[in-house]
Amino acid sequence: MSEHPAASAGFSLDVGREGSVTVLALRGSITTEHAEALEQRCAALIAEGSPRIVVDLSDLHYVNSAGLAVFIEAHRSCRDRGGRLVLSHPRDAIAQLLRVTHLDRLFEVFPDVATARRSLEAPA
Amino acid sequence: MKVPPDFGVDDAALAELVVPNDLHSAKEPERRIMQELDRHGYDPDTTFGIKLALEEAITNAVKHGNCGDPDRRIVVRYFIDPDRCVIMIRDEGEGFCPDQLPDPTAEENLERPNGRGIMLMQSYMNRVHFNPRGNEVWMLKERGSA
Repeated sequence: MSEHPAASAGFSLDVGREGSVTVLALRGSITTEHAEALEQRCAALIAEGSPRIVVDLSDLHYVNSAGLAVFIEAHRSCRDRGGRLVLSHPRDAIAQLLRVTHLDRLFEVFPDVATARRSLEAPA
Repeated sequence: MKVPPDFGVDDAALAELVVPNDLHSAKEPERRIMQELDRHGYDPDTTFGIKLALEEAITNAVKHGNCGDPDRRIVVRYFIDPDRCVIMIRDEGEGFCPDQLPDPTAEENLERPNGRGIMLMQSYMNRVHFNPRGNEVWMLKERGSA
């Protein structure tokens, strides 16, 4: 029996640094059970002095409103520290979710990590 | 409350699960529903939307309807065939008025972390129907529809 990725429960994240920018690659599905841990990880990254974050969504198949709440809070937190949190390369379903929620008006969304990173590195 | 007549399903055909009021226990009805959707060959986009609406409804029931009370329960009823998916979620709370919620897509509300659940249910399902008390929600997704 096949299982669509969105129906699976697995979630993982990788943190990478490229210059002054942190790239947070999210994989799998973010459900409510993952949201708290993700929120804590984001808060720790920002507290460590990394308010320039690219969230790589290229391998994220599903997120619910609890996950969106984490993105929103991290976005605000980065902005309050003089940085930015941007999104990169969402899959079609996630891009549609951002449109439905109008969060595409809140978040800057880039087609790939390289473009997003250059945006964060550019002088203000 | 029985299934709304315009959902096109016989009430007796619905499966029913009663689970404790916590998100971990609610994984079982979700697993069964996802399994049925897969068995009937629902496409990934439709599955995504149904999963999202279901999780939002369950989260609302657990956290807001039942106020996180571990002594309360959630009732999940569902019916899935090749043409439609029907899901009902009921909590034991006092209910609420869904029409009185702020619009989460309004500019001034975009940075609010919460308050998107019902809007998502209404966006991804074809019909969303609350009972008058507001502690029971019926959702219909017609396969092949936008």
